[in-house]
Amino acid sequence: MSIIQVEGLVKAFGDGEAEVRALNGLSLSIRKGEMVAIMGASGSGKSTLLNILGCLDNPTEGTYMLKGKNILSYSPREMAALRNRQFGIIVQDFALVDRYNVYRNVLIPLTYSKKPIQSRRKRIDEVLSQLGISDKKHTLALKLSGGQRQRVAIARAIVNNPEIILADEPTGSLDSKTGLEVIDIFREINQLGKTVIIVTHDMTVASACHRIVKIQDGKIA
Amino acid sequence: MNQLQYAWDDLKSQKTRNIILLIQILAALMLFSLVLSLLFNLRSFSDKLYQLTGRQDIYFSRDMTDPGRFAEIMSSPDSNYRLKELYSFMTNNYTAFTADAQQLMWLNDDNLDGSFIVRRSDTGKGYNLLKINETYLKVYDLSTVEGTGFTSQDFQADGNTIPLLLGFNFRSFFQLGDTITDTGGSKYQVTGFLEKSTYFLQPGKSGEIYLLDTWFVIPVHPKSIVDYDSAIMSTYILAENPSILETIQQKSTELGLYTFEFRSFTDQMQLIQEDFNIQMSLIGFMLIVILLFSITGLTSNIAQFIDSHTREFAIHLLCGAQVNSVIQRILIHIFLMIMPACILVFIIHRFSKTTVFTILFSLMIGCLVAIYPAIKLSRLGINSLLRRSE
Repeated sequence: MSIIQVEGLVKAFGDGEAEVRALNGLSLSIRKGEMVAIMGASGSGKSTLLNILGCLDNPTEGTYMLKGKNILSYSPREMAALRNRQFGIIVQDFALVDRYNVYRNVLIPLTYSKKPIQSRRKRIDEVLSQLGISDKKHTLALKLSGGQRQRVAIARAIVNNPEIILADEPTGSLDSKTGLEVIDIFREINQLGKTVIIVTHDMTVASACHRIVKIQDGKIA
Repeated sequence: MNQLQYAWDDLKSQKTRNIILLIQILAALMLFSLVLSLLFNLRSFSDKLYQLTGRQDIYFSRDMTDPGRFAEIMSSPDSNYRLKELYSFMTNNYTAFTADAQQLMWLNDDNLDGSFIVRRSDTGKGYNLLKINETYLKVYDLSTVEGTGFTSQDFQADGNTIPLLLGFNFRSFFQLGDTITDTGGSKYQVTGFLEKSTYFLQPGKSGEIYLLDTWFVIPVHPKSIVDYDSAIMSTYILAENPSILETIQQKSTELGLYTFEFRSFTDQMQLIQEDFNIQMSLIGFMLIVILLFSITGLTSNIAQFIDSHTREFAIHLLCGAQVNSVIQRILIHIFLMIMPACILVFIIHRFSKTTVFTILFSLMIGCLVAIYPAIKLSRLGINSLLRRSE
């Protein structure tokens, strides 16, 4: 059963002769519980696709069915709710708030989920323990190593227990050893039944996935 | 609640910058409330002037007596009697009020606020003193915040203790019933405290509007020739027809006293009002210029805050926040900064038009300042915000 189904996705930037199409009629289907790597050269449109899948951006044309519902007609409020509850998004540079400690960074999605404060604390402790960074709970994000930052970003992505994890170049700025550890974390998350979609250049990451989707010139190659 | 916590954390995280911002907001709103207060006062004064002069014209006298003749009057042994008769003629036959501010209240009290003193001498400190008659109370509708105003008996009594009304600012120094003795040994008993910003007008002398907050007010009790001269020259006559004033001149001539020139109070008052308008307009203009500078500083400070927090806002949006939540946080941040200034304005101006308009103005500025981030966050996507803030 497809959890995500996109058809004829077009994302154009600019107008007229200056128009550039990052996605050009891309169609893709991803099953629930699948771990998919999206690969392609720089500028092929893979990050743009991830942004649309994660409701961070809207396509110019096409349809996007999430669990059988066309979410492109959703209001900004509904889109925000999807980002909060359905998706856990990990961006290239981890996107942590440096002045927050680890706890407060992981707390952000829970802030918008209306969960009681006691259960928030418990859940954060769970995910920090799961990712092996419990001891860093009160450390400022600014003072963490690259691998630790990535773990915090993953903790934040999974803290609301979303069905789909989207990661953009999750090992891009890590050394190979830490990169492998991160791949293992994604595998574990996937084994818990989550759908994981990873945009990557790294063949090691891609080979850990069930399926590799290659994009070229805004289409599936 | 979450956004309030975030906003409070934002304020705490940049204490120095926010303290500077707070001072700017305080300065801006205090200046704004001052401008408003002046404008409202101006309007209030205009209304009072109209109330005062609207019913009938008011006339005041100028002494045009030849200096030699004046010296003769003052040195004559029966002048005191003749002056008393003229003063009685003026006050008994016409609607005339006396507002004599030509003398001071001389005290040796060291506990009073030094700023109230208008003159110092070896024997004591001089404070503003206004001597009034009964008609003055009706014309100016004098009212008290504590105690009572003068009664008819107060203007007729000639006892040992003179009833005394004190300006609003004396409330911290005296209590009702207190007895004050001046350097000449005269005793005064406090019967009431005037309302704040109680005023009187003396167009014939200095053309100014005096606030009585630091003044002593007593019933006019002419006893000597100096007192009568002063009282006559400080007496204002309400009349519909200026021709009736001729009888005063006739009476004065008959008594061998002054040569008067009567001037229309209304014309004089209009000149005062024009002067006042110019003065207030200048002050208002200066304050508005300062206010504009302060608001510009405030706006740029907030804009800087928002720019430095764009990445954080984008991260919140990434995690499921709505643009509205972020704007709510910015608004709370701004209003937390504005609130202390509004409280201060309330303390100073109490529940007044000035307070209400200043708070409304600050809320409006707060909302205007939030428009910039609202547009920025709404128009740019989360990715653009993250990229821009890198």
